[in-house]
Amino acid sequence: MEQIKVGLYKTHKPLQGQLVDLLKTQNQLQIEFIEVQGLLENSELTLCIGHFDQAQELKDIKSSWLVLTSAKDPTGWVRFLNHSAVVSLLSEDVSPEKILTELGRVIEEQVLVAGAGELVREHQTRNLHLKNLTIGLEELIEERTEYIRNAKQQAEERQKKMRSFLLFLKDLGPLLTLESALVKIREEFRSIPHVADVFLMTTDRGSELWTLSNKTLKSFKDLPLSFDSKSVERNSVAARPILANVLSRPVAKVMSLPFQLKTFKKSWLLVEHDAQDNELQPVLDFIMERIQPITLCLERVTSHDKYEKASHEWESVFDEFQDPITIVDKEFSLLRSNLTLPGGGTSKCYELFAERTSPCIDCPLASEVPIRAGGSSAEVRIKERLYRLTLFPILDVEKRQMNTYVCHYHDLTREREIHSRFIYHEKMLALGVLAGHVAHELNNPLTGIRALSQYILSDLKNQQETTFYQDLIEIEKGTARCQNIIKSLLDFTSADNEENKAFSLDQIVEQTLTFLKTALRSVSVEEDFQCQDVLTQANPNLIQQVIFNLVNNACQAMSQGGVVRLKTYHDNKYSYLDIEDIGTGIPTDILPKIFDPFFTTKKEGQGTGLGLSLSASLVKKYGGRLELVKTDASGTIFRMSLPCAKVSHET
Amino acid sequence: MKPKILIIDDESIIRRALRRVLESEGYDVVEASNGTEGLKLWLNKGPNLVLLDVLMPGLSGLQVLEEVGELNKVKVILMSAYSGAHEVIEKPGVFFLKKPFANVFDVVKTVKEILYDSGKN
Repeated sequence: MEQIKVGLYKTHKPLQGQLVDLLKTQNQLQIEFIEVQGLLENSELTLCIGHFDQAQELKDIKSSWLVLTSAKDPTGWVRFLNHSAVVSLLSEDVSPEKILTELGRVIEEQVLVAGAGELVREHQTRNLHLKNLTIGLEELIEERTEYIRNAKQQAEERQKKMRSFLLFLKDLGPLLTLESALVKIREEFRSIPHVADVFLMTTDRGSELWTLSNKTLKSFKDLPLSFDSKSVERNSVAARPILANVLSRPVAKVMSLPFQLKTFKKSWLLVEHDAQDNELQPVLDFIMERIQPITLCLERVTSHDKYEKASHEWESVFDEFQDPITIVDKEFSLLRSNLTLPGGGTSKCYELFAERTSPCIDCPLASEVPIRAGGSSAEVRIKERLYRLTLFPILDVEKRQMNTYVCHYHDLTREREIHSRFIYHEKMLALGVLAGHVAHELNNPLTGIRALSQYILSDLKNQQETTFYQDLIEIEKGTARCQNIIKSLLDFTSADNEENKAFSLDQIVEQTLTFLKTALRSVSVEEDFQCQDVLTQANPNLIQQVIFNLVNNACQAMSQGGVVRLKTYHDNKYSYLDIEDIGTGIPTDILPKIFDPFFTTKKEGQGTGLGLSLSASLVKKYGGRLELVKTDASGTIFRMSLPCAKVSHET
Repeated sequence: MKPKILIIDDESIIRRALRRVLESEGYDVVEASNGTEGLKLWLNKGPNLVLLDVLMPGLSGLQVLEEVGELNKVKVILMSAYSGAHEVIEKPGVFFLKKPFANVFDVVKTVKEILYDSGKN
């Protein structure tokens, strides 16, 4: 049994001894009596027994008291019973047994009350504890909720970031040009604060900087300053003046990020920004996160640009090539060509190019012999023209087969024409030499015939009326004309060997006309000669050739006959000859070519194609000019001018 | 005594024409159809004047002149189509006549003048 401590306040000493003795006889209660001096609460005490004389004293007691009183009428005390801690009120006259019994009852009651209080207290503590626990839990929950909310927000943030990053990746993916890539990169970088603009710079193979001006790529080559930085610079001092110089404007801060491309080994992404040092980290993080996809994208677009350019170059070479070039497959289907051909689709090359229904004769592709790797060629006639057709096989790397061919058509027609004209010219030269010989050989017998005729004529002086005499005169005249022709011919052919001399243009023109009789048969000649007394310095025989050519051309310009007007005149410096025909003029399409060597409108054998070109160069050689004065529907005028001989001025 | 004229020319019709004209003028004419024959006649007959064609098969006119050497007052008229020939032979007594001649009587005239001049000397 628990020891109960009971306080004794102002009780009589004998009572204290009596109570202790009494307790010894009972074994029910174990009570320790402790004398207390004041009314202060003592938590160790279960109960106090006090002796009070005045009820007033009771108002200060707390806890539980067994009050003994000397008062006869305790009614005045009763009100305190209700309000104070007085648990029992006894008269001091009662026996110690009675006190002890009451004490036992009160203690028992007190213990019960104390137990209930304990229980209540315990409950209260537990409640408090629970309350605290609840509060803690609530706090925890709140904290957790907050944490979860934050985590969610962060996740959302991250997700948003990731989504924008992915979107950026997705946008970069299909871009093919540097321009579109730079537009995208700039748009992306400008979505964060502080970034103003983005530039791409390389110092590989000559320096170059790319920027955007209204979403259009602009390139600056040969940058004014050199740049070489291998690390990320948040505020590059070297890059800033380059940008400012190139853009001709003040530039904020420049972040330089080096990266390597296959196409441009030394490259930098320059980011113009206005971030303070403490604001820079997120910008840098943002950019660094994207630097790899950007590098990949730029790698792709720059190589694409390069290949595009190369391919474009190749294509323009292909298209600009003068000779026709086609690409065909084994079945003669035209895949590509540098010609503007009608139709298209699956048409065959021979249909489009040669307007045939079957492969061209001698086409190497049509022959049994396989096309050689170094090219197979043949001469092919296509629409009146002769081509050297060379086929080169194209190796299809994937199929390891040669199914397509490049066909190069080289037009031989003109070469052949020039060649045949050259041969013709050679023949003419040989003929000239031969004609010279023949003329010499003819001269001797002609001279004899003429001389004999003259002798006989003189012998028959007194028979002039006879037809015989008249016949002989005709013979003499005929031989005389033969001699003239031969002389002209010899002059004409031996021209190159002769020296320059002074002559009258009129005289040369008249001489030339003598052997143009055939050409002049169908046309009439109108002469207006005013250079009889003016001498010209040149090789007369060569000039004769020129006049011959010009008059001959004039005659040929009028196949139905007409008039050739020959007019000579002069000024102080030059003698002129105008040769005018009344033909239909020179067609405008050939006009630019008439002075070209080997250009001719005549059929083979009729002209060498050297006429006008050679004539012009001859006249030029002697300080003169050969020019086309007029050509229209009413006819053509050529003018030859030659410098006057100095001698004629002095005389 | 008639002056003797030797014609050396490979063209028979020319020889004949010249002979007819010169004979009609009263000259004594001998003719040769090539250089070798002409040289023989030149040395045998002793002509006063030789009409000598330059271009002949075999011995040419210039070779004949060379063979003859000293002219000894014999006059020579070289006949050629090449105007440069007279520049080659610069020898007193050698004259030049361009072929073809337009009028055969011009030849006679030239012959007359040369012989007349030589007669004076």
